Amino acid sequence: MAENVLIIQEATKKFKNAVPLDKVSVSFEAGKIHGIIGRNGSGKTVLFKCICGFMPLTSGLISVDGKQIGKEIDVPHDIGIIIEAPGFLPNYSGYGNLKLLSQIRRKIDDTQIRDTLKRVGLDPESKKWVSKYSLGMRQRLGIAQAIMEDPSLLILDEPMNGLDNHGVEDVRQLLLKLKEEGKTILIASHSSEDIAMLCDTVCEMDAGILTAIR
Amino acid sequence: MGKLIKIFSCSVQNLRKWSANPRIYVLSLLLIVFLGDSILPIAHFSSAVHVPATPWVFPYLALNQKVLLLLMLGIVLLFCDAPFIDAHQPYVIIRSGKRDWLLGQIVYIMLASALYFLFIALISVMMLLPNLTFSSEWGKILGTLALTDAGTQFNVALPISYQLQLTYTPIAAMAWSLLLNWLVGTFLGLLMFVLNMRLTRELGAVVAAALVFLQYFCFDANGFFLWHLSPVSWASLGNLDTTHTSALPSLTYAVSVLIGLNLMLILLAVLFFRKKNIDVLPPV
Repeated sequence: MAENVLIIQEATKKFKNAVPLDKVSVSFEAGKIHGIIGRNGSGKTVLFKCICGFMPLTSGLISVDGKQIGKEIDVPHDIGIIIEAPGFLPNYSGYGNLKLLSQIRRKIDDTQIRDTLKRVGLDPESKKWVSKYSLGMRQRLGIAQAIMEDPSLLILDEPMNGLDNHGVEDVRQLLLKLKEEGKTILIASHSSEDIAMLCDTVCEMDAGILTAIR
Repeated sequence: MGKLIKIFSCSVQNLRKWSANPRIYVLSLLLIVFLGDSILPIAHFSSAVHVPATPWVFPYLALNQKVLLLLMLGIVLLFCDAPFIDAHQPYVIIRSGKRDWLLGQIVYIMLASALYFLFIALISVMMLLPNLTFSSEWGKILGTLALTDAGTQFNVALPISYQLQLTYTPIAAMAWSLLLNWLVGTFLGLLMFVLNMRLTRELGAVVAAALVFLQYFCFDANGFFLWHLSPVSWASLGNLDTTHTSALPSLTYAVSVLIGLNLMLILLAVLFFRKKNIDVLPPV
């Protein structure tokens, strides 16, 4: 049995007038695609933000690769994310944006950035500003920034947003390929087709409560 | 070394956003137009008497309370979007870590404040072109404007202070003015950062603008006690006691209190950020 790369225990997040996460406990095995479904406002994005360390839990714990978020580490070290709409510097090209982000960790070189852009179907030589990109192109670039540093864990909140049928198919194939490479992928989607086709396990969130359904 | 690179990269990401931010262009335009009102009369006077001016006008800018008000409200406009969490930042934070990102934002405030006042210093030199000469002295133009009322015919509104010329060499006045303005700009930026992060985003700009207007009232109230409580007024060498004969704050007092305030705000930023949710805010 594969080890659990992400463990969530009794995770609770309270705001003044809402409890978007209510004693959520779940573990996610390494090397699989895990789906989370649920209506808007059910708590999926809050859960993802808590996993990324962007929101401190009110109680409970989340550990990634055995390290507790907020205690041992402030954000997971080997992770790629898309949370809400991916944001970019509008007056830079897709390559320029990835280059700037890559300068923070300095783990990859220019060739790897270009290869990642090709992998998501974008032209690495294009000088077109991101402000001129279509929604689908932005989404592809968002996926590129998430995978470019070869993270072992991917947190993808609605990765198919804005993609046409061809784009959706490309991204599905890419995610399956990444799974073959041993990545663990946590994906939130409104599309039951995406979930059915891609995910090894599926959980449903409703009013901050998580239930395993497959 | 890797940590420093991460912190610096986070700062640079913010600076690179300036070229796509209309607020920066509006601010630059406002500074050029309003500083032109103060500096161009000196250029006209220099041209009329056929004597080139020296480039040491910057220290006199803050001596005029309205110009000081403009310069510091510019800082409020520059940093009003603190704590700078736009849709791009989560992708920066996940790579840098929260602590290095926070330090990056503090470095950004310090860098942006320095660039802002260097830009103003540069404008003040450029506006004197082509009648400009480089000298380590104050020069005949600034000397004449300080000692006579010749400037009134050319509507020179800047108070060219003879006291300042007696007390400081031009290089020292430039250096002290830049340092004081930078410290005040950094203070206002950090104050907005901390208040916006801890409370609401509007509050920082309101409190910072109130402090900027406090220096304006210091001139009217003429209360020496008030001068000690108004950090923004310390950006002007004219509001500091250099002769140890008045109750105005001294240069040492201004510099040390500003450094102390900035360190305290950095500490508060670190403390508050530990429990802060990273919520993407709409652009200002």
